[in-house]
Amino acid sequence: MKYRLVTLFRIMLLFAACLCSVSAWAQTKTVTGRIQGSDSGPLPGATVLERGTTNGTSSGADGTFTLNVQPGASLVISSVGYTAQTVAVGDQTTVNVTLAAATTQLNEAVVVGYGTQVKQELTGAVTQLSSKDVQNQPVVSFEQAVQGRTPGVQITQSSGKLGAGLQIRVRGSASITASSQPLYVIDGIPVTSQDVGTANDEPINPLADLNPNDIESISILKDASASAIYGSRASNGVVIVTTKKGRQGQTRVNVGYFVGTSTATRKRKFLNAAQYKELFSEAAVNGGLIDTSDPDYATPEAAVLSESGIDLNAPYDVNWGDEAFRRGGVSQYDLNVSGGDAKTRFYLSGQFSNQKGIIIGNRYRRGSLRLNLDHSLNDKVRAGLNLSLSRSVNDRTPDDNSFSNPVQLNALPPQQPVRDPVTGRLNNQTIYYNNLLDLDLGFNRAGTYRSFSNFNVSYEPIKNLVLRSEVGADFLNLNEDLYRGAGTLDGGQTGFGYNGQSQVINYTTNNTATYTFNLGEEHRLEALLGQSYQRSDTKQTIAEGRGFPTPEFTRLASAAVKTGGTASNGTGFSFISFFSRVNYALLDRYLFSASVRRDGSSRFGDDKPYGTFAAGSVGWLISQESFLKDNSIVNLLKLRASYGSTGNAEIGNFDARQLVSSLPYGDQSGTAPGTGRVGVARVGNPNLTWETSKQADLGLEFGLFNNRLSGEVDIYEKKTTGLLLDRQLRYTSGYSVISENVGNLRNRGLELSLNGRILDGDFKWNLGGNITFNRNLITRLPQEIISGGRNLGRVREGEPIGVFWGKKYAGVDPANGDALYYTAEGGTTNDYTAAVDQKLGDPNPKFTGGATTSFSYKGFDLNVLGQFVYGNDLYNIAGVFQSVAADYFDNQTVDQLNRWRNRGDITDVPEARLYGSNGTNPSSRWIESGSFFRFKNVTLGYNLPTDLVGRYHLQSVRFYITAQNLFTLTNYTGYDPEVNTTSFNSTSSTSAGSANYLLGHDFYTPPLSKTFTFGVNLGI
Amino acid sequence: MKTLHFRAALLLVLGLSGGLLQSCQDPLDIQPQQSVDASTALNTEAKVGSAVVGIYAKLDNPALYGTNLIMLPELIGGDDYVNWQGTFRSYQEVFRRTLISTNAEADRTWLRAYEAINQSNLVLDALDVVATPALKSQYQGEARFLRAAMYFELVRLYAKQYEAGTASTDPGVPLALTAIKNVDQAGVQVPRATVEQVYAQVITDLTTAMTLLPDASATRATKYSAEALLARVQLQKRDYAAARIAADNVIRRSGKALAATLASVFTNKNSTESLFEIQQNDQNNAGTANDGLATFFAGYSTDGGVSGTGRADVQVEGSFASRYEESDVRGTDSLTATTSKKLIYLGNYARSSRRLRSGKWLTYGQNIPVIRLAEMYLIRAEADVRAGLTTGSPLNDVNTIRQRSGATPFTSLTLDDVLNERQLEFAFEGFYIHDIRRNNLSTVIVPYQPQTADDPEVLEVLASNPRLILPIPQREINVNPTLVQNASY
Repeated sequence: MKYRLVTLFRIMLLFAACLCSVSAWAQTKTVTGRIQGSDSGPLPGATVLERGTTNGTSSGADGTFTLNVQPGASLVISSVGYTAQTVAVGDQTTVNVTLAAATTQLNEAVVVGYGTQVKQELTGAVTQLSSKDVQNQPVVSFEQAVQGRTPGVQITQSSGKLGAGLQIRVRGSASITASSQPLYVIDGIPVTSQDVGTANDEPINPLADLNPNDIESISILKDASASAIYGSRASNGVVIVTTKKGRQGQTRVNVGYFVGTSTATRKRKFLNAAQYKELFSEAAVNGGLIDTSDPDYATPEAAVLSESGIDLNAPYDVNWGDEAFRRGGVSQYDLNVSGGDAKTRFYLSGQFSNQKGIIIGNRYRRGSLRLNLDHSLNDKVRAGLNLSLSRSVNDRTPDDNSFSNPVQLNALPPQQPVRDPVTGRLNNQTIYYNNLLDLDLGFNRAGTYRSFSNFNVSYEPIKNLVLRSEVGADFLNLNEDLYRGAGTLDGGQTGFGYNGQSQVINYTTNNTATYTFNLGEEHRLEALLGQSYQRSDTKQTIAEGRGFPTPEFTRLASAAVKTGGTASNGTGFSFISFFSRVNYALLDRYLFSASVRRDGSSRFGDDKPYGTFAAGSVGWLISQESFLKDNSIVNLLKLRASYGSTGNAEIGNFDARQLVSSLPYGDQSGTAPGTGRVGVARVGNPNLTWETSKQADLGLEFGLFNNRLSGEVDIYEKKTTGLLLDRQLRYTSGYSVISENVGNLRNRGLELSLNGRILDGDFKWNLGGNITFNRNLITRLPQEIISGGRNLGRVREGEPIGVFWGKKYAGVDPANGDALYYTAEGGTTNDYTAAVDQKLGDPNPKFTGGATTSFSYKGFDLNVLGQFVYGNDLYNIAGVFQSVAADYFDNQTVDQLNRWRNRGDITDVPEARLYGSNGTNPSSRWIESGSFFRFKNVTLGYNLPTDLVGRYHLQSVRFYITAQNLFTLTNYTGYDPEVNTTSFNSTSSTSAGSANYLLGHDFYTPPLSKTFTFGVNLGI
Repeated sequence: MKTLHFRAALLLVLGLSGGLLQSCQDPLDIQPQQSVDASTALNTEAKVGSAVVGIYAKLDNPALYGTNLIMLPELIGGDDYVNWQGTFRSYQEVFRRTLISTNAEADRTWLRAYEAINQSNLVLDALDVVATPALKSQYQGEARFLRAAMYFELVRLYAKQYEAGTASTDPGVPLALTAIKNVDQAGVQVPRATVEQVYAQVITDLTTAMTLLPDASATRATKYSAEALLARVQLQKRDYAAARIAADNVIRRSGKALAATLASVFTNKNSTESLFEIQQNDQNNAGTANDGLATFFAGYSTDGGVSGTGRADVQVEGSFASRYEESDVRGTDSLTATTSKKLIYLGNYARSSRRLRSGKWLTYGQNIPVIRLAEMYLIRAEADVRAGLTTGSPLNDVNTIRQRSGATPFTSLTLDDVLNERQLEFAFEGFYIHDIRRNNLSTVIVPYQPQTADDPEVLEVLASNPRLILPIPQREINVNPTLVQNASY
């Protein structure tokens, strides 16, 4: 069957090619012209296209172009960052055009799946960002730079760790246990975007390997119409990244440098020595530890010393919480050269970026090179090559739930010194592990080599038919090196070493045929037919060992014993796909589009290997109607609607299978169901297949007052059925889960973006903003998912994903200081088990968005980006340890001093009772509002006057200062309201696949950094 | 010209796409590399043999003998005996008896025990492909023995003590005795069997295993492993006569002998005294940092505190250590692990260094003795004493154990002496709470109960206290509502 399809496709291609080789021939005329930008001089590299055809050229260094066109043709002139214009040629032979800088993005060229479209004619919902939005930001990966700029797309940094993963939700969570992250496509190639590391649970973001300064545009495909061309992997949206290309004309050289400094957005306050002594002495008494007959327990001080080794009277007052942080720094060097002639265009770039994190031991360095080459063999055949290589080295911060996480130092009591006063060595007698030892006696480093490459050939055998074939590869090589010397927690007596090598190779081939034709003046049609195959192979080798002679020996060659984690393994998946799309425009104002894709994947069960996904959309350019055509107020008015289906295939590679793996016993080898020692035993499901999302979208785009005010409104409903759920099985069956396509959910939402050019003279003032309301609802779920442990996140039918559910804290009984909880009847009880489980909060925001404003005057410009999230709740799981009125010896947050002390005290902190478990169980006690408004980015720049720079043979000189995360308005009392611990997302039996639904949990998670940079860019 | 270009490009296009497609036969056929399909995992004799090893391997999981089946019985009601100093909240809750039904330890022990049980059932189901008669009988014996061990551990931890009068109505644990291979079978909701039914199944499995297992094996279960476990089961059931028969049989016929020192049982692998032992090595063990017995019990340094082994989470109470005689090497000489000649040493690494630690669990890769011959002596002695005999055999049995460790031999014997000896001999080996519940002792003190006017001090917890029983995991009840939760959860 698969063979037949491939063959069939080839025949079709051949047939189509032959048919069309009888080409039309007509009289042409030559048009020349010059293109200028409204904010600059001549615009090199602008695309000039005969409308409705693929006949086009691009402008030279001086902005000029020459093109042969049909009589009566119109030219579409576009350039990224500028508003496209359509000019009727008529009798003219010279067409001079000034493109308006795209402060409004109404008519720009938009990258879509396997092609581009003019925004005006687009009938799908697509957000496109340009290089301006991502360049020269003090971030590790590009997603961090576009936070607040993406209506309908919520981007959350889970912590302030450099190079850590981000959570991105395009129009809400469309899955519960399969991934909800979008598909990333870089220059046409789907890339590895999920963590492949093995050394610890803190995910590494593989997208950090892309130099953000190489990005020309980022398109986020949001509705079914735009994304269905990616079929079974489009339900979570598709992010298409296109890298910069060279343009014909004068060679341009850009040199950039910035340097900066960073600090934590916020630190928390914990008890000092005197407060600690006061609270814990009281707790020891209330906890019943005092026994006057036993000298070890005669006084509170003695009891605390006996129980914990903490000397309350020790002459130290250490602020352990602050030991985790330091002043960070960032610097970045950039160089790129681009240019070319009529035959060959090129873009060359190199970058070195160095970031020192605000968390001790955290550092990220990346060097990257890129060559994008594009050559015209003749006017029919073009060949191109994009090649990049990057090397990054990440000195990592362990996952939040590790005793090695520096933020966990805040649990240490102020009475215990950092260093032993006698020996001067780091104190290893602390109540919790003094993880400063890890940095002193070891390292934790991840090094990556990454190459994104793409080789493509396009051929235009006859006019308007373009055959394009590309082969791309994404190579990822990750080397994780971890060493914990003797004397560290993991190192024990003799040291522990770990080395993981992961290699992920992702090959893709795309073959497309695009045919564009006009039928008279009224009809314009573009048809795309394509085929694609992707294969991904992962190989990992892990070695670990113990028994290092001295700490100078850190390589496993020196380890006496190779321990149990030593392994090698491999996995992989493949997709084979056939797709087609037709766009049709009638009378320049009635727009139709339809697409279909058939996908097969090795991941799906044997009984359902193939699926088909289709979408259709219509648009009506009302402003092109005669009654609005030359209206002075309304410049653009477009209504569009789409409906279609997409899939989500992000299940495990072999989740459909029932597997048996090896399980060693001492020196003997055994086997058992599941995937190894800690793996989950699954029951197989040959029917397992993709999730299906059916999405309807209705959008309105408008431009008013000479496009001074423009905007876009979308409402959507995305219904996902056949959710890939790990349905929990009774443990007594010997299995934990089965992956099934059961369960439905729905996302409904409204997106609104507005842009206004308020002042447009010498002094320019733009104001913009976007806001997204998304409502997630689980509409069908056969079985409630309880993440368990201390987590409160659950998935319940009739509630949004990840709803906080559990016992509701009712404060403190003024009579006796007991923690109280609400019962089913609405009363209160001090018996935790007698309280009722109820809804405690919602980690999903009511709305999110961003606001931008920019001013420019002469050479100065000021850009401000604000980001906001409103109406979500956060749960600080660490509250169980750090805000429990001295139940155990963890240092407490200062608010715990408000504990109940005497009958009649009104407070919400229960009586301090050491070991008393007074209010220590998971409850709403540690749930708070997570709303915030953040000044995400403020940049002030100055461009030196051109005549001045010209004297030094430069094209441009720009200085700027940037403040990232300048300040944050929030009521959240934790470190940072933008938080989502990744620690409880492991695949352990109780929380399989919880990465998607355990939202808004904070667990010793480091805050983001506040960064100030100063930079300079030179154009040569 | 045109056709030439056209053909060239078409060939190129097709070549690129074809090359990748033809590089593998079926582009969607990608097989797992370190697993095999369950449908073919048990279809030869050798594969069934590997699956049997797999059951043992399950037992080494930290949720089972790797940690919890040994440590939880010590922590539950371990007051005046051990002190949980660690930071792991799930164990702290177990120790303080403040646990709730989502407790991670209750959850994972239940899960892993039933995984081992299903693995046993899968083996029993696949025996037909085992052609060699000796292997067939050995595999069946091992599967039944290991299944019995798991059910016995489950019924002791998650259900009430066997009481002759109420065992036939007291809820035990669900009995799963057939191999689960597909979702339909996994979906059947199995309610809790009674305590009586679970014990009956355990005894049936053990007596069957005794007839099937070999007399001796270097590292695996033997006929006497099964019989020794049967003695333990009968004792827990308070069928002292049956317990005595089994224990006596093991002592006389197993060919096992007490090791020269108790410490050597733990430092050496598969000692002469060992009747059933979990095999570990440096590669394959229950854990070296966050799990495993040495991780929780140990806390010593051999280089003056620069580095060390263990988290020092379980402290041995001084009051318990002082119950040993001065001369008893099972007690303490208050010296550190490297200098101590005794089995309880003074910790010198992690946490407060002046705390006592057990010297039974010192290294991560050590074997875990589950049943050893000394227990048979004390079972036989206890049965004799309960039958009214206080001299002769029982006195000899107890003194054999005492004298090995340098304790003064008794001249006469009471039941309390035997029970006390069990606590001294099997300290930190997973016996503590089971003996308390079996003997209906009410000596458990709750020391940290808040003392307020409205909340009178409670000093004793009876053996019948429901908090000495683990909760049925909440997740399990959610999935299978036919399960009845234990009292107080």
